Amino acid sequence: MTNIIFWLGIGGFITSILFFDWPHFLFYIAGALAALNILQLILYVFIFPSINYRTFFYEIRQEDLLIQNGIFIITQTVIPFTRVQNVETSQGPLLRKHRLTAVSVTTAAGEHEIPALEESDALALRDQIAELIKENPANEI
Amino acid sequence: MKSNGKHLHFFAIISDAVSTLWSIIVPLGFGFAWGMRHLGQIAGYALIILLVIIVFNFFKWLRFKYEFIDDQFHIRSGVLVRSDRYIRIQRIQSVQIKTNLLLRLLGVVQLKFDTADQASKGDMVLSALKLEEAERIKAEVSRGKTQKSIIFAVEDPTEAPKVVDDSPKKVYALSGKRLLAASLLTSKVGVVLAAVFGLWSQADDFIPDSIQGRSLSYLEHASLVGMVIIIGMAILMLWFVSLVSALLRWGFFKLSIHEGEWRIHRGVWETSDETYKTDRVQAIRIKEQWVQQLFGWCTVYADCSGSIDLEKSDGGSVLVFPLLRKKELPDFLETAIPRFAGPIKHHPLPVRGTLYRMILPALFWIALCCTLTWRLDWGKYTLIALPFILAYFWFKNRSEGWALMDKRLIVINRWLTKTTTITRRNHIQSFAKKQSRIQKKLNLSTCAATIRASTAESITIRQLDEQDADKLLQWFRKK
Repeated sequence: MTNIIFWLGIGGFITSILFFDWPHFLFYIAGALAALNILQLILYVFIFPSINYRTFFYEIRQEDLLIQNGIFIITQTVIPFTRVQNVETSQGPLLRKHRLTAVSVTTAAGEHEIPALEESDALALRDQIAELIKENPANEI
Repeated sequence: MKSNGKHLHFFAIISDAVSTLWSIIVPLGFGFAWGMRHLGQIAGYALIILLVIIVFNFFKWLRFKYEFIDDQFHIRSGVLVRSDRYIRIQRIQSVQIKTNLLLRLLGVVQLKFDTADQASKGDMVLSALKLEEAERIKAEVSRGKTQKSIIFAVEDPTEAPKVVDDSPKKVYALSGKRLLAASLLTSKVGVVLAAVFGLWSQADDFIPDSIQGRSLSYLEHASLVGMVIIIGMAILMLWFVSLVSALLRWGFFKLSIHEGEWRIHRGVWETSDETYKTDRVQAIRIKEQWVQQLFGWCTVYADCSGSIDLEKSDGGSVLVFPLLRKKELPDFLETAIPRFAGPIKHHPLPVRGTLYRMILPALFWIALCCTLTWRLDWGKYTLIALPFILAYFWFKNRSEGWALMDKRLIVINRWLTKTTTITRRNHIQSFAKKQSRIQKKLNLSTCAATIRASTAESITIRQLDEQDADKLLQWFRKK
C-alpha cells in the first residue's frame, strides 16, 4: 500500500520535472528513490516473509503462550495466560480469499499476533486459549 | 444518595475559553505574533472568533451536568454530540484536585477522576468547581468506596473489617535546603537553552530595527574578553532561569504516605493534590543524573497503570520524590511501598557485550570523520574525539546491569541519566528474549519485559549472557 503511494509520488515528481521547469538533476533523485522502492519491494515481498516464515512458531504450554518471530533479530515472547485479557480473530479480504485467519492476544500492555492460520486451526486455537484463560484466572495487582 | 444534576462553577466558561484559545494559539505560534502586529486590520475577525468560542463554551457549560446516582457518578456533556457517561464509583481510582493562582483567588478548583483506562481514552475532568463542592465530591467518592469494602468484609467473616485510618503514616516534605539542592542539581539548562535560541531566532520579528542594529554592532565590536563575559553571563542567566523554574515546579512538594495510598501535594503557581493508590504502581524508577550521582542523590518516579496526565508527569511516570539521598532510599521504599523495597544490587553485563555495543558508535563516528575529512580541512581533527566517545560508551555500558531478587527484577540502564527500574514478576505482562545472528555467535541476547503503565512500557536489558536470558525467561514462567 505504502509502495503504491510512493510510486505515485515518484511519478508525480518525474512529471513535474518534465512539464514544469524543474532542474534536471532531480532526475537522479527520482531514480534513486525508484531504485530504493524496488529494493524495498523485493525485500519485503520475497525475502523477509520467507525468513519470517522459517523463524516463526507459536507454542501453547500449560501456563503461557510462546511466540517466536523476527527477521534479523529473533524475538521469543512469553505471554502468561493469567495476563491475557482477550483473544481475537480477524480476517481481511486477502486472508479470507485464502481461507486464513489471524489470531491476536491482548494483554494490558499490548497485542501479540499470530498472523495467518488455517481458518479451522485459528478457531480451535482461539477456543483453546479462551479455555486456558479461564483455567488461569487473573490475579489482580 | 440521589442528588440532582449540578452545573459547574460559572467560571468554567472563561477557563475553558482560555484553554481553547491557548490550544489555537500555540500551534499557530509565531504566525500569531505576526497577527498581533497587524491587529488593527484583523481585530474584527479576532473578536468574532473570541465571541464564537465564548458562546460555544457557554452552551457547553449549560449542557454539562454531573450528579451522583446510587453508586455511579453521572456526567452529561456535549453540545453537538451529546454524551452521557456513567462511572461506577468503585472504578474511580483516585480523585485529583488542582488549582492555579488565578483560580485560587476565586476559590475555584479543578477536579479530575482517574480510572483504569489508558491515558489516551481521555479523563473525566470537572474544570471549575467551588472548593467546598470539590471536597464534598471527594468525600462522597471515598465514602462510596469504603461502604463497598465493608460489604466485602461482611461477606468474608474470617477477615475483620479494616478501620480506615486517615492519618498519614509518614510525611516526606521537601525542605528548603533540599529544594535548593534539587534545583541546583537538576540541569534543565538544555531545555531553557533551546527555548532561548528559539526566541532569539524569532527576535528580529519583535525588536524594532533601530535597537536590533545597535545590539548586533555592539556584539561585533566586542573584544574576546567581552564575548567571554557575555557568554558567561548568558549561561549564568540560563542557570538562574532553570533554578527558578525548578523552584516553581517543586516548591512545597509534600508526599504523605497513607495506608495503601500516596498523597502528593505540590506547586507554587499551580497547586495540585494528587492521590495514587499504591497497588496501581507497576514499577519504581530511580533516576540519577550525572550531577546528582556525583553528590549521591537520586529522584524517585513510579510507573502507574491507568490514566496519568502526560503533561504533568515525566513521560507518564509519577514523580514520587524529587530529591533523596541514596542512603535514605532503602528506608524510603520500605515506608512508601514495601513490596518494591529490598536491597538493590546488580550483576554487571558481560564484557564482550559491552565491546559489541561500542562498535556501532565507533563506526558511526569514523564514518562521520571520513566524510568531514573528505569535505573540510579541519575534518581530520574530529578523530580526536573518538577515544573520548569510546571511553564514554565503555563507562556507560559497564554501569548497566540487572538482578533478580526473589520476585523483584532490578534493571539498571543508562544513557546520560542512570535509571534503576524495579518491578515485580506479577506486574510484567509479557517477556521477550531477542537475539540477532551476531548475538547468537557471541552468546548474547537482549531481554525486554513489558509492563502496563499509562503507555505500554518495556524495560530492556541489552546484551546479557544467553544463559542469564534463559534464566530470566524461566523465572518469569514460574508460578
